[in-house]
Amino acid sequence: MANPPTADNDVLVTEIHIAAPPERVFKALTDSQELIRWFTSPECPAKLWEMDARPGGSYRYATEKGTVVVNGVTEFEYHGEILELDPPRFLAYTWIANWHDDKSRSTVVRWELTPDATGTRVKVSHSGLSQENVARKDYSGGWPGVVEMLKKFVETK
Amino acid sequence: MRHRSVTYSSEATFQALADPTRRAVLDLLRRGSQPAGEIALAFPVSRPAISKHLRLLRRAHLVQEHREGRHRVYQLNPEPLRAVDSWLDQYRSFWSANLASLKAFVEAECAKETRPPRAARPTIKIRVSHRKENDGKPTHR
Repeated sequence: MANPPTADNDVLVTEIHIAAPPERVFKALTDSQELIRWFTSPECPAKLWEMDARPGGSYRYATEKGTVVVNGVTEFEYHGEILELDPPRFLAYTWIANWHDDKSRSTVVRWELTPDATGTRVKVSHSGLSQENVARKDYSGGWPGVVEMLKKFVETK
Repeated sequence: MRHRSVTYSSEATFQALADPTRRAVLDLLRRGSQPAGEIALAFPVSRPAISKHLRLLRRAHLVQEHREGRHRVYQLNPEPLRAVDSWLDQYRSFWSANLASLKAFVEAECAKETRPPRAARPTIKIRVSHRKENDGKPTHR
C-alpha cells in the first residue's frame, strides 16, 4: 500500500508484488516497445514512449488528449534523464512534467526491484514533491494538480 | 442540525489538520467525547490556545460542540476527513494505476515466455493417467 504524501515528507512511495523475476520487470521498465504497452491508460493514452536506457540517456513520454485534466493540462508530457541504471535492481530518472506548477522542476522517480520466493517486490519512489509545498499551502496547485482534483471532488460531491 | 446543511470546506479541513496540536486533539477525541477543560489539561499549552484550536476544528466541522450543564463537550466528527482521504487517493492513484498495469503486463508476458517447459509436465501426467482407460493407446510422443 502506498504511503500517503504528507506536508512533512516529499516522497510518494508505492509498492506492488509481481509474479515474475526482476529481469522481466526491469525489461518492462526500460524497453520503449514495452513501456508504451503498459504505461498508458484509456484516460491518458500514450502516443510516445522513448527511453534510451543508458546512464545519462534520456526518455520522453507523451499522451494524446484524454479525459483527464490536471492543472489545465489534457495532453500530458514528461521527460527526464537516467540517473541510475543497475539492472535488474535499480532504475532512477529525473521527471519533469508539463502539469506541474513549475514545468521545469526536476523531480526524481526511482524504481527498486527486490527478488523474493515468488517473484519481485517493486517499489517506486517519487521524490522532490515537497518543493510544491508552497503552492499546496496556498491551495492553488500542487503536484499534480491535486488540489484541483480535491476541489472538483468536494464541489461535485 | 446546522452542520448538515453546509458543504465542508477543504481549505478549512486542511488548515485545521496542518497543526500538530489540533491533530493531537482529534486523536484524543477518537477515544471519546471530552469536555473542553479535560482537553486543555492534556496539552502543555495555555487554555486560550486550546480554545483557539478547538474553534478552528469546530469551523472545519472536525469537532462538534454541545453543552452538558456547565461544560462544553467536544465530539469528533470524521466526516470532512473523507475529502482528505479521497484527495490522497487521487494523489496515489497515478502510481497505483501504473503499477497495476505493469503487474498485469509483466505477468502475462512472463507466462507466455515460460509456458512451454512449465505446461509440458502436467499435460503429460494427465495423458499418462488417461492412457490406461484408452486401452494403452499412446496419446503422447
